[in-house]
Amino acid sequence: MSRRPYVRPMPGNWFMKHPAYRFYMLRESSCVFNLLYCINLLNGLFKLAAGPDAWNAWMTMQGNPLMVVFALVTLGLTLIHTITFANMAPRVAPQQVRKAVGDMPIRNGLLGGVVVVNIVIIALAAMGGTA
Amino acid sequence: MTDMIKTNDRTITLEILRYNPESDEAPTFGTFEIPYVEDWSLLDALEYIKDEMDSSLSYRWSCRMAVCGSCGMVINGKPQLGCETFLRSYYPEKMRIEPLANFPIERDLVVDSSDFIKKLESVKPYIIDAVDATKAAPKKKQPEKTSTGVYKQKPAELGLYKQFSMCINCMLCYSACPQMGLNPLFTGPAALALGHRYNLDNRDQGADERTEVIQDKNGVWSCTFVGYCSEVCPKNVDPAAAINQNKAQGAQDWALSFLMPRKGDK
Ligand code: SF4
Repeated sequence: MSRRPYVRPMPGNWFMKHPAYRFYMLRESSCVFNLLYCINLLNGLFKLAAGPDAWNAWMTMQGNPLMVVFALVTLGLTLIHTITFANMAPRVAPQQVRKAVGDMPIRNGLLGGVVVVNIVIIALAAMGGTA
Repeated sequence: MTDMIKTNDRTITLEILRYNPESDEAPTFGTFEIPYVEDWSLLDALEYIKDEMDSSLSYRWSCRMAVCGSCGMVINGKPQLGCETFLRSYYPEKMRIEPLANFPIERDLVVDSSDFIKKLESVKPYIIDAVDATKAAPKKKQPEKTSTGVYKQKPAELGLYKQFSMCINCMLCYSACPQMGLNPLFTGPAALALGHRYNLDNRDQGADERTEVIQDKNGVWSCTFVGYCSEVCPKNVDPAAAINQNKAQGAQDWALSFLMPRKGDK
């Protein structure tokens, strides 16, 4: 009897091999889209500073079907990220806090915060639009 | 058992990853068509194969009731205990059985767990008393001792770490963790959860001694919170929570070390 343990190689595409890993990659990929979207917004800010022509060109670009798809994908992934973040956050909280408060209040508090912040931003944008 | 088998002629197919270190270059799947018995667990089915079809089939088992943690295997892609997996959940589809991922295969479904045991030991999974701890002054308040010399522990204090103490060392979480496959030096879910369990124990004063392993780059910082370890854990230990609580704590200690540099100067 001789020992000859066999080590299986990790496939390069391991993240495609299991539903749990695929969802993990989807969740993590939200950061790529958020980064690209932030660059887009930053670019818009520079265009705003550069004057009405540059700004209008940037605004027209946002209406491009490809940009609309990009915005929708970013929105979808950001929602996935937000919800998974809120679901995971209570488990990262110190065990003493978790035991005292419970998981649901932490999760709901975070989601509630997101809703409030969004309402404020949308309200400000709407007011800005009418001013 | 044979009576039950005679009463029906339905069968189920099991594909089992086989590896014989003496004759095989690499593992290959072997196929077994066995009688389908509704109340058989996968462990019962493996037992049938070993008794009636191929006595060379190797696998680990002991308690048959999800307590010993011996019969962990990957069933249709998911790490599970053979004893609490039932044929009826799969029938009439076939079942594909592999040894736990991220471990070297010793033979068939038996993996080499020596590295796992070393990792468990590395977190010092025992109560370290203030007297034994290397640091002179205990950081935590010492619990009261009874007249017989043992520390008192209230139910709430037990409740704090109880979840993390339920681990049966089945290694399913190691099989579920892709970071374990990418970085074999990662201390891993169960061992880090065990370290956390002792750090949360009010009788223990050894947190400082565990920090080096827990806060290492191969400790909690090798984890990216895939979270699948906690999903497969048969005892709801939630090792992902244990690991990520330590990341939060580690980040906080690191930030505080700038504000209060002398706090770390022991
Ligand atoms: S933490 Fe859960 S899955 Fe991991 S070894 Fe312990 S009981 Fe098994």
